Amino acid sequence: MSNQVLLETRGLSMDFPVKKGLFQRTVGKVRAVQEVDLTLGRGQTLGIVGESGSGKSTLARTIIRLLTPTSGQILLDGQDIGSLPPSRIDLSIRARMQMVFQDPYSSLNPRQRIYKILEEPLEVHQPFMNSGQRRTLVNEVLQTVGLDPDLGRRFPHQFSGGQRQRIAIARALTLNPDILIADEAVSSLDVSIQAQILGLFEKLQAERGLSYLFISHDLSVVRHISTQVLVMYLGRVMETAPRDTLFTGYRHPYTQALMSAVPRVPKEGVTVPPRILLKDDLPDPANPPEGCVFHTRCVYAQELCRKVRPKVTEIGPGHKIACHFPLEG
Amino acid sequence: MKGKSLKITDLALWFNADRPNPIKAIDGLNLEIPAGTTLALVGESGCGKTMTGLSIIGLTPAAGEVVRGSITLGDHEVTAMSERELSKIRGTEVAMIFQEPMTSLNPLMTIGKQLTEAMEVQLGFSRSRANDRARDLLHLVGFANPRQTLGDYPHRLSGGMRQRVMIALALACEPSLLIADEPTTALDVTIQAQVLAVLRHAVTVTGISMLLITHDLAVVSNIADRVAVMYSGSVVENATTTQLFADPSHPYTRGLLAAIPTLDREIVPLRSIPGGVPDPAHLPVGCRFAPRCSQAFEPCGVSFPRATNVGTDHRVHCFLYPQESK
Amino acid sequence: MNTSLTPRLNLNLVLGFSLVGFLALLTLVSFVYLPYDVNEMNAAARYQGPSAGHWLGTDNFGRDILSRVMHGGRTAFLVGTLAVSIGLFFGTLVGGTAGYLGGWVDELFMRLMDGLLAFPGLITALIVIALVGPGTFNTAIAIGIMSVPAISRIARSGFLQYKTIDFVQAARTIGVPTWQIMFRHILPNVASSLVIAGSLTFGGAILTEASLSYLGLGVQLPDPSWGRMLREAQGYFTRNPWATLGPGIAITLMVLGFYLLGNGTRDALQQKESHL
Ligand SMILES: Nc1ncnc2c1ncn2[C@@H]1O[C@H](COP(=O)(O)OP(=O)(O)O)[C@@H](O)[C@H]1O
Ligand SMILES: Nc1ncnc2c1ncn2[C@@H]1O[C@H](COP(=O)(O)OP(=O)(O)O)[C@@H](O)[C@H]1O
Ligand code: SF4
Ligand SMILES: [Mg+2]
Ligand SMILES: [Mg+2]
Repeated sequence: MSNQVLLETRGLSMDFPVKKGLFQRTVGKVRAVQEVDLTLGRGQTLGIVGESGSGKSTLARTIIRLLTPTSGQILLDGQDIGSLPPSRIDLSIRARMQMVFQDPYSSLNPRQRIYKILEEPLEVHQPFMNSGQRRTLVNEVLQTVGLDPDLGRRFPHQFSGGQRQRIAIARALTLNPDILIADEAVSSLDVSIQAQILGLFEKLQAERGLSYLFISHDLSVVRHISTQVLVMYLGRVMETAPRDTLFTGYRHPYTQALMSAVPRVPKEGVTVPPRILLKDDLPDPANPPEGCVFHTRCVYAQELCRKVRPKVTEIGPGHKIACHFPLEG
Repeated sequence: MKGKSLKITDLALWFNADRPNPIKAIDGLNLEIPAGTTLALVGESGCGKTMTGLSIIGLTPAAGEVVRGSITLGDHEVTAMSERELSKIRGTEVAMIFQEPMTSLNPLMTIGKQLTEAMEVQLGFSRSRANDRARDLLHLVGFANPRQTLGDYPHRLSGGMRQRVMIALALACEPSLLIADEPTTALDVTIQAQVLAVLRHAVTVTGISMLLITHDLAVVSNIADRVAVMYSGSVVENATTTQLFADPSHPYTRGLLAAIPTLDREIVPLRSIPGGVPDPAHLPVGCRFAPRCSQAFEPCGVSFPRATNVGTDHRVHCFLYPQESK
Repeated sequence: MNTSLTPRLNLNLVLGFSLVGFLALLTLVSFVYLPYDVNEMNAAARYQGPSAGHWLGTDNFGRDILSRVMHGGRTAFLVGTLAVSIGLFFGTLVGGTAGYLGGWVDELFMRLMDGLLAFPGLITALIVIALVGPGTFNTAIAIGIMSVPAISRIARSGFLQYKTIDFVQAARTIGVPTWQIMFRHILPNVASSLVIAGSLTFGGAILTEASLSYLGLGVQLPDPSWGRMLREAQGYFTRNPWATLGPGIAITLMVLGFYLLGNGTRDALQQKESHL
């Protein structure tokens, strides 16, 4: 059962119009996500990494249908929810996917008590449930995330960042979803708190069989929590593979550069690979380079890379890469 | 060598010092940076790192007051200096760069103007001499085409480039100590690697001393000679970088290391430190880490542990180690 | 969190509150006690300056000006409250919907508001009165409509700011209906800036009511209105300059009071926010 596909995207793209001037004319488009194929199996965690601006959040928001994709399919248990108009995304779809955001300060309404925040999903989805049943469920979910149910009467500002993130997770859990999308959900937390929240994510997965789309710019965190990893750059998939394959047998120059930039805690017997310092920054996504989108910063780029865009090809079991000159395996 | 030594002894910086429960942002901090070396000050947010940096440069918020202790930079006693005296040493003796490179530059002035202005005012350089030095500095921080960058406005530069300009700006008046407060926290790993490389290069070339403030233990290994781990307003462990990673001794340092996921370690469940940092208005009596420490025993709740030498050049404040009598 | 600095004394708020409170008190008292009947004429006591018997003097018919000012407060508060309610209600509805939904709704609504704003406020009010006729209620409605564009802009920018914030996105992923997101999640967060706008509008409404009544188009006889009292007093200014004093001061204090109240509230909120 573990290989059962729960969520899949095919050729998913999301463009934003670029508007300029007095009359807000559309002068171009930001290609935030381009032709992304991904697969998330039941009970699995797909980690998504890439520099900021590479389209991770847009991908998440598109999959959960806060945005309507420009093209491509989003298959949830085989049903394409990508082509449905926003009004047709009904509660039965909403209940299956929930999201946890990066900033624990802006993701909770400062004017609502915690209890109210957690009760709202139930009010919307189960209008006939009485308040006693709702209370029981809210208390349960608070306990699940490690908070005392008595805290429900408080307001968000009375909590620390880590506790707020627990509340945000609790809100996502009230509907008992299959998929939880975590967009940089531990990135703003201190390391000791980050470890607590990562532990909570692991516990929930073990207990409830949740599947995660886990977005982070931190490769170490992604390595820790994921079963599969997808590396994005400028809206496109560069490399994807099962976790161990990716971290020990990556073949894409961009993955290599990312890995080598990660600061390391020195450890006996481990030699850190030499740094590959990427020059400059991400190019403008409204004007992505021709050919391979990474060629402007790639140390291995050749003439071919500047002209022809490499296709995503499978080079091993579950291991796909978009590069003309993959690193030695 | 250009660098000067810094010595902080028993520093305490309190907010609302005259009220019932003062906020003890810093309390009993000891720190030493030998001339020409780099010390990393590491700790979780709210433990007082930024306030430590600001105290050294005399820029703590008005509500904060140094209630005890001394800060000696070379032969200046910073805590005893007037605002006028302080403004004279800012830039020329000690300079500071901050986390947010976007707000630290004036958006209406070219990079060149911002660099040369400081030198003209503080060092009395002529326009052309300042210009030459500005070019050299931009080259030092990795700009391939300094002449062009001099004429650029900040909005034309990316976050990483701005942070490198900030480093050049901080070095402009040849300070003997550079304080870098989370200089790469707002940047991507790839850009962080660029900026750290530039920072290390610049410090090595100029030979100045540096206090690198960060919440990320992993970034210090390549750049710092020594590491001081800070918790709740004071330093709990202080060692050479190699020593610290080879033999982390304070339970808090160990806890931090066990909580960080890494690329090299086997994947095992992370050990988190239970609870959170204490409220600086109600610091626990005794060892401030005791409420979260799995090894705490009776003495920990009674008095503040003194420094114990656990190796050459390696000091820990913890009752698990024999307390040396004074 | 632990930044428990004492709030600075908010002079604006205290002063604004005192002024408005004082005028409100006078008005409330007018329901139970008035020194004289407001329409009681006294041919023997026309054109009097302030005295022990008539603190603010008497008018051309010998009516007591203090009593009329107190009674006029009812009109002022009624018109102000009504106008502000209309302005807040429609302004929030229009601006909130435009800001939250965006797109062509935004375009349409805001062009409409621009159109309304293109007329000087008083002219808008005059047109409305020309259509529905003068009178206390109609004046209030006219002033309310006049204030819709300004309030709708404030509401729009508030809703625009909050529509992309994470907790609103989270509510969308849960499937919370749009109207519920607008009124339960966003409105309470922009309410404070609307309250400030309402308070400033209140002052403006009093002033406009006075101007309209001064022109003879606002509140009609026999209700005493500060604006009309001022106009009447002007007619016999040479015989009794004191008669302008009462209504003039009342209008000034009221406008100033609400202005200070609005600004004071803003300061207080800003200070509170910087502490969070
Ligand atoms: N609502 C939007 N309108 C226009 N451009 C956007 C919008 N959201 C994101 N973008 C752009 O899309 C690109 C990808 O952004 P994002 O998905 O946030 O990346 P990441 O999460 O990886 O940092 C960026 O260039 C960003 O500026
Ligand atoms: N203006 C201030 N008023 C009161 N307390 C403050 C103020 N600024 C900082 N603090 C307190 O000082 C402590 C240390 O802050 P800081 O040095 O910024 O920590 P760090 O840089 O390690 O995250 C914090 O707990 C904070 O509550
Ligand atoms: S295709 Fe070329 S430019 Fe792109 S990553 Fe591979 S080698 Fe580099
Ligand atoms: Mg993002
Ligand atoms: Mg700080």
